[in-house]
Amino acid sequence: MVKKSRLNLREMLLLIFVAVSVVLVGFQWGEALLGEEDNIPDYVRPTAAFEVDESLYDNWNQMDVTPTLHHQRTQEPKTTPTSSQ
Amino acid sequence: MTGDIILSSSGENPKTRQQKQNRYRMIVLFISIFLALVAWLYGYFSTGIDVLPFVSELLPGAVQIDVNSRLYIGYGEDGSVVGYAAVGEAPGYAGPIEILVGIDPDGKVIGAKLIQERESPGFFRLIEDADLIGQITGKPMSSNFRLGEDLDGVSGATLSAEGITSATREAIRLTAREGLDTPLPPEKKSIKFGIPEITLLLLYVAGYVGHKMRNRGLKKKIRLGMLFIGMVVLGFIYTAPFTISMVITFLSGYWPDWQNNLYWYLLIGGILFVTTVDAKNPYCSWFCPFGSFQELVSKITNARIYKPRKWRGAFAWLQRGLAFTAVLMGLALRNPGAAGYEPFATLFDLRGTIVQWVFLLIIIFSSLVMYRPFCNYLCPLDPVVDFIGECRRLIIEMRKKW
Repeated sequence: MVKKSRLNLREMLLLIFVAVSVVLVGFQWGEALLGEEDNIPDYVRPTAAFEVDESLYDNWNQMDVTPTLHHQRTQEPKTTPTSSQ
Repeated sequence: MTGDIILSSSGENPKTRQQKQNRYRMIVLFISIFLALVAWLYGYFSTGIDVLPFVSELLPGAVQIDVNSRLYIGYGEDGSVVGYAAVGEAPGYAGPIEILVGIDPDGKVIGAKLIQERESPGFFRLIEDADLIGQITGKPMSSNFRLGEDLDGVSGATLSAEGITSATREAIRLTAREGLDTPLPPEKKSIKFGIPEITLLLLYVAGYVGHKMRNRGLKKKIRLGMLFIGMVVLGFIYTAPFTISMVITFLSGYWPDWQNNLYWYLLIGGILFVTTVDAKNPYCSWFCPFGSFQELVSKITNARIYKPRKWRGAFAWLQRGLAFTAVLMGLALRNPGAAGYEPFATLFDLRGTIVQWVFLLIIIFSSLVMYRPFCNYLCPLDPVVDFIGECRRLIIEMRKKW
């Protein structure tokens, strides 16, 4: 009987270990995806969705941009910068 | 008993049950491959960077910008060239790094912007501390732009820093060649082959030979020696264990240049080779740095492996689920660095967030009562190796049939 309850305790500890670990893995993914904005230098684009800084677009839209060769890197903007240096 | 049909406790013929299991495994395998493919395609089509706003920031006097492939030429109001901006790309720790470098008509770097990266925030904190971007700015384009020469090295983020400097050199060469019409001499690429590469090769060979040994005493001693070398050299000195980020980087197609990243190729190629050709994985049990550390902690209390039979299946699927989620996430977001959850850097480089430290401490304490708790229940590499083994088995079966 004692042996059985000890086994159950070990089993329970194992389950707690796995459950807590999975939660911590989830937190790590959350941290990595959302980023720690305060600690990231301004020239780094975080992995989270970027907020649109419309003023940047206002500025360059006023310019005359001419693609001279086949390649034009700008298609529909999927992500937009927030940083300024 | 010969010829009798042996029935399992559920009353099912074991052969039929085996066939059912094989079919089930094959379905799971195909669904996994399909989902990974969908994630890969999603990642491929959903990531993209709009460079022009960055160009206008680097060349503030420009009222017109001509785009010539990866080179942007800014013209002022009077029609004269006010500067050039070029995109350079190079592999970092967890994928390609793209940098936009602005150069004035006299050939001086007037600014640089990191426009795309996959590195983990921790590495960039180190790069920020070293002010690497600031160091690049103001230098003439004829400078070397090399760490340890005219730029200070970044301890703990060498691969990321090398990615940035290498991408910078590429952007500068592009501007010199196509913008300023003064091509720079070709870049020398030396093959990086040092202690980590030699150690890794020796460990592979020793692991391959070791697991075939019959003398158990000698085998045990060799294994312990290898575990120690793996932990010290690949772990604490070079912090270069095999990670799920490497697998995602490999699957994403972000293959770094082999001259500078021979270690990466040896590690990935070695594991692929031994698991497909020999169906054995010497890395995990013979020289994984983190596995070695857990084993060392387990020795204190002589902790044994604990895998209750009734939970074994559920835990195996949980481990596979974690690994697969990491792969899908990494492929879909094209961000291998964010998908990894191994506490390797926290232990070997003493670097991590509070959550990562808590995670590591829990694993260390659990190692006192369980043998290799991270390896047995959480590590994403075990399912990866299983997956390769499953594909190998499938191919062998198909070859037999056809």
